[in-house]
Amino acid sequence: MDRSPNMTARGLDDGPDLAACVERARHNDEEAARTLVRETYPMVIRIVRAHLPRRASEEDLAQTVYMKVFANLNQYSGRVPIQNWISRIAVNTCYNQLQAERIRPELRWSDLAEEDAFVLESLAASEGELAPSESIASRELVEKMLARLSPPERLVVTLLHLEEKSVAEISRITGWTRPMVKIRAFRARLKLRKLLKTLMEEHRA
Amino acid sequence: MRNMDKALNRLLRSAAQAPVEFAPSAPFGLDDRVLAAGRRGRVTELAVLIKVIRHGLIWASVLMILALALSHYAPAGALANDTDLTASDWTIIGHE
Repeated sequence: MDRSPNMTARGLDDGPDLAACVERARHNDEEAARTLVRETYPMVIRIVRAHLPRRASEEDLAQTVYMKVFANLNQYSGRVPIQNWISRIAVNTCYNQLQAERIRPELRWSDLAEEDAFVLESLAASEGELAPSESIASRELVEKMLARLSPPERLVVTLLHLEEKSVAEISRITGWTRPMVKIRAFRARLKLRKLLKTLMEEHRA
Repeated sequence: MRNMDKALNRLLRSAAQAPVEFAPSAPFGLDDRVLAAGRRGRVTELAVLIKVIRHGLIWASVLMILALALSHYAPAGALANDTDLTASDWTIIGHE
């Protein structure tokens, strides 16, 4: 999940040897387990925040992720870095949480905050890229639009467009086939386009 | 529709550039809570295993007692007599 270049199979270059920590944690070494939690928490919380279902506490979700990690630690084969394995568990935990939620009803112009409306106005006004200062408001607007999609569609858009992962990476993380990833992304984009069109038409009216 | 597709792409690209929030260190006590949950899980698994073993032992004992009781009483009856008969005995019975 984390593609930072200094993240290796050994963990962070200056950090502890995570592979050794996993081995020790498997033998009930609590200090090794604590180290594993401390070292991977920033990555897990980033994933949880990116996919955070409404009203779900990010800390509770992170705790659920780690409980799954330690419950299944014996199944970790060691073929991929532990960070990848944990990130897959984190994404799937968020996805399961999303599935338990109901999709929000329609998004109306009146539901938007002032900043969201400003982003839409900028989109309508010119064909150029949005200003960097509008990125946070854009993200918030996209989050509101994503809340209208089904969990798989929301997940695929977040991974593909917001985290800029490849179809192959998404396939690996979610366990879906590549055609399935593409179909879900296509359907999600179709819905987002319709939603954006409705919002812009409401704005013009 | 193509314009809308371009607009959506611009919106998504801008959203992707939003700065990533500072990733904090693990909150105080998270590792303790996770480890405590793991311990509870192990204790529960052990308790279930002990329960299964105990039930298995009880049933094995009951079956063993029943088998012993049957083997003690059954040969004293008809079975013992049947096994005592020799081939010649059967011949005599057949001739009678």
